[in-house]
Amino acid sequence: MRGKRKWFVNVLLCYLLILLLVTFLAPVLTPYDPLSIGLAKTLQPPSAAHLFGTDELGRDVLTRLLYGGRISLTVGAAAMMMAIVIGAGFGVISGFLGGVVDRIMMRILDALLSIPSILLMIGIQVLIPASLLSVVVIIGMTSWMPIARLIRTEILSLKGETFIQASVVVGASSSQLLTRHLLPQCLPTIIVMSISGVSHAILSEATLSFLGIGIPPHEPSWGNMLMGAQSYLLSGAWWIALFPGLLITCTVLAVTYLGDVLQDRFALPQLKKGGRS
Amino acid sequence: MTRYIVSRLFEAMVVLLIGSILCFTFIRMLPGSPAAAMYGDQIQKMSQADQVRIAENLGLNEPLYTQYAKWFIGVLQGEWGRSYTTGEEVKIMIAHAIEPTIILILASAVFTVVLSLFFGVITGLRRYSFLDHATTVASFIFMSLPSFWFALMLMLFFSVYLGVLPTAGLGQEGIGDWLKHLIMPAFVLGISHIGYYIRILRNHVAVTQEKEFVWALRARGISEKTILWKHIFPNASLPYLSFMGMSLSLTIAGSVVVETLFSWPGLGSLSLKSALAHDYPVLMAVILLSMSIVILGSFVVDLICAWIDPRMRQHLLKGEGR
Amino acid sequence: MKEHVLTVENLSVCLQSNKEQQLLDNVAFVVPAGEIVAIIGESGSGKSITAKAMLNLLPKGIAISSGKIEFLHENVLTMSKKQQQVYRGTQVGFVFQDTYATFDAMRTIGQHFRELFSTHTNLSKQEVKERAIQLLQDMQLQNAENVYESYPFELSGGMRQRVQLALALALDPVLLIADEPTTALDLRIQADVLHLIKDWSTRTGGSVLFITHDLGVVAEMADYVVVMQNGTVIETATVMNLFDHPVHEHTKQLLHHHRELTNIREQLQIVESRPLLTVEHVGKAYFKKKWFRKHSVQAVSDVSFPIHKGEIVGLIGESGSGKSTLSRLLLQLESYEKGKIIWHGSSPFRKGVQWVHQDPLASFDPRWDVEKIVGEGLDYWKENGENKKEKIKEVLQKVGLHEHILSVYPYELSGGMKQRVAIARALLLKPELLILDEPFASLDMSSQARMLSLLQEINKREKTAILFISHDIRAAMALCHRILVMEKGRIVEEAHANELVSSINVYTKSLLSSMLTLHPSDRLKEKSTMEENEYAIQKN
Repeated sequence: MRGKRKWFVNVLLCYLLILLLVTFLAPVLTPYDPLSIGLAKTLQPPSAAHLFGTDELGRDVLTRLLYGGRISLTVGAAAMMMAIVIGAGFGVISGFLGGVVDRIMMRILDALLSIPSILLMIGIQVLIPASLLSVVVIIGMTSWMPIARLIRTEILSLKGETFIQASVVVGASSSQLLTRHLLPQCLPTIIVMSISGVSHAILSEATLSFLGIGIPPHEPSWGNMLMGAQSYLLSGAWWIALFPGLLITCTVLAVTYLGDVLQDRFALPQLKKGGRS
Repeated sequence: MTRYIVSRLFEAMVVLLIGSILCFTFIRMLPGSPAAAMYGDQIQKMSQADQVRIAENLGLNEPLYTQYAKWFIGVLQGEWGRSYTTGEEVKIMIAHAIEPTIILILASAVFTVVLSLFFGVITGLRRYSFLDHATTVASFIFMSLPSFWFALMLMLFFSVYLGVLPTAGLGQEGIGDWLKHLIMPAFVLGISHIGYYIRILRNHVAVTQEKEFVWALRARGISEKTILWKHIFPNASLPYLSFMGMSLSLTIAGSVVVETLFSWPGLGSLSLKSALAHDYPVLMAVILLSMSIVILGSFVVDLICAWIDPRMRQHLLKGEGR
Repeated sequence: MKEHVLTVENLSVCLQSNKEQQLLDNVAFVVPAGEIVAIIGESGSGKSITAKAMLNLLPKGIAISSGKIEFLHENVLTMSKKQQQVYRGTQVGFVFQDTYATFDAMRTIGQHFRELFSTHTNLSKQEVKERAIQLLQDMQLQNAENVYESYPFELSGGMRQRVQLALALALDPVLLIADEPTTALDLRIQADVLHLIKDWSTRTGGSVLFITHDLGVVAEMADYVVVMQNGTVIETATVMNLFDHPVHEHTKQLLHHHRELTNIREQLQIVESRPLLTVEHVGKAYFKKKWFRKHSVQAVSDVSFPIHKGEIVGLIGESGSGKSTLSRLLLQLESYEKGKIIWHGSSPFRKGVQWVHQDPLASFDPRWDVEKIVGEGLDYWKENGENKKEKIKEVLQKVGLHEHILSVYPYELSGGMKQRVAIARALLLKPELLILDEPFASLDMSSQARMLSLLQEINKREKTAILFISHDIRAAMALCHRILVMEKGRIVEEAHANELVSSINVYTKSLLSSMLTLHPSDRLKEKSTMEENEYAIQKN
């Protein structure tokens, strides 16, 4: 690993750690209430009292950012978990069974993948009323497909590997093959996918909430804080839009980059060296 | 090649069929019966006998697969129903919205392709140079930016602060105005996935460059320029192309956000508007249409890839799947 | 004295990142005009890097630190870029071991030729085609026109190697550099390719620099030999001198291994009447889908033979003869449609028959260390009160590995050691039959010889029967008691190793005739008998 990269990785890790700490200690850290409306001090620019200013209802932007972080990060983690469970399950079953089952499952996957994800989300949100849980379900249900496809490809190509046949020859049964060779081999992919899944989920939550079909407005999240920002932005209240956006970008950037580093780490040592001896 | 086209076309049809079944199931899961959807609140006021008669007329008593077949044939013939909110025929609404969306997507594709080709090839050839590091950082930032927020920031700068670009709508007054309206949404849409394109191209150029056949070409005294443009680039462009096919769905998804933000009267903003107004026929039509476009797009991209790379045909025909 | 085409003086090559790490150290040799010079060495001796250095085209991160490479009195290292292109393209031809990776898979063979000619000559498209087809025909390719239009993946390995040779010789070079050009090929194709190179050299007076690990190839081809070890030249001699009066210890050892590999095995007296495994009329067909019809390819048809306890049986055939399919049928990794395979062993089949694959690394889980790999079998065949680790250590010792490699990952081991790990894994289950699928394919000559004696030892001590599957008739004759020859899915001959030499089967004879000579002096004998034959034919 290159020295520069290691340094950068440490910075990102620190950032994420601090972010987690700060959002979960929000009640201790900030004197304001994220929900109480103060009409006397609407749309105030950043000042000593309100570091990031106040919004159109006079709520402290920084406070809402901290509380919003709780929701955005929770949604990110929960939706990712759901996507991984569905995706990995689907992929393993399809790849391991193979044959006709695999072909049918793959065509279903193709069909789901060809519906642009946000349209799928919009479609599903019509079915279930908006709440924190529904946002998690919507994102989870619409982002497992690429994971399933990747895992399935991996399982399928692993099944043809010589070392799997070698295990059969020394006496492994199908279930032993799955638990001892196939699943552990897929683990790095699953980990990397789950990390990029968190970024995807955070971005999706933000987008959905921004469009007004995500987290209901009174509870702050990074996405819905930006919801009304467009109109205030055009009249000059830049702070309402700037800070939530920056926070989303930095967090997603940190997670994405760490995922990339991890992916390099997981590359097989012999592949790094460039093939066989 | 003919065999490849036929088998690939067959596959696309199957996917489309499954997709339409999913959509049909979905419509049936929507709140309210189809009869209620057609007559709105009036259904409650009707007599029991009328309700039964309507259900019969709509074919709701027939087995599900017959209903599906009828619905599917209807869709193929353009019977997409009427909007709940405006009463307009969905067909016509879509016809109006599709052109702006196509323009937007094509314009964004120009941004993506031009920029990613340039940076992808250069950084692939000069890995670990300053430019490479800078491009990598930029790629990661663009991958992480929420596109709606990026659009807001661009608006803040170019429209509010500098006042040079308009924030909403189609340009109606001449080509200059048209371009002015197009440039920001197209840029935002194009830039949101550019990081992936650049990285794919960079990595494959770098990998191909170290392949043994490139060494063999050098050993035959072929010039570096020929090696780059006739060998490295075509080899590296295949994964780039197939990513393009896959990302069509991402681009359409992105257009929903971008069109809404810039009040661009395309399919994307139409879909969101109809979703918020619970205007299901319009929403379903947009979903079905985008799905077909994506399937068609990936079919075309696969054909292009197979046309360029003979191995690809071989692979699919062997039935090893993709 | 003849003029020297290539003179290498004090050539040193090192890693760019670490100048201390010398890959080549003061290498010096000459290639006289019209002669064939062979560089022989084991893997890691620096012979391939030497070949690449001749074109001043070293892999990234490796650089020439000092020395001189003179080609017809011109220093290659100080040439301009343009001159180097001309030098590489027209003066020197280069042939590689890997026949697939050296072609751009997206371009046809014809496009490869066109590009070469358009860079270095002014021939028109039609002229290029005529010239290329002529060249391909010279390389004894049938259907040269078809080959010209084909993509690399549509050709077999042997065909690709001929095409490579045609490309290398297309512009009448003065020097041909061949880097293990026949290692991955069947014996008959190897013999053909070697003859083509030799013919070219005598016909045009071109020189050849031939890189190989096989003394058989050296005996067959070379006029002069350069022996390399650890990046240095340890001996330079004429081929006769090298075989008759080797000087350096390492050379002597190489010759010893070579002789071991070419000894012919005595036949085994079979005491027990009931065989260990009987194969009766086994057949297997593969189906290819074409449009909507199924199209079957018979991979194995009507194969019958027994394997007795403690016997080493060789199964010889060229690639595509169905021998690998047969091995997979015997291992029950695939099902067969016709016939029977009957197992008479005392332990269950899955435990009693074990397998060693030709590519040992591919047969190991890449995330496992040696201990886990070797011990895997015990996890599935649990016996009470056993100490797993002790057993693993014991079996490692049997195959000549030290126990400190227990925690090592296989990719860190050398080719020979990997193969030993694979054998250890198989032996751990105390198999009664060991199926070895081309176990020598990835090994160099000395490792092959050592592996040969290891297998003989195991066979003697453990009374394990061995089925040795290979394309290498020489190795089979050195190892096996009995040999089966397979062609196109059928067994065409069954004979004891010492009887095989005098076989009357046409196919076996053609295999035997493509065996490499044992000693360079045989070459002269062969030549004279050939001339006699020709004379006799003319007379009649």
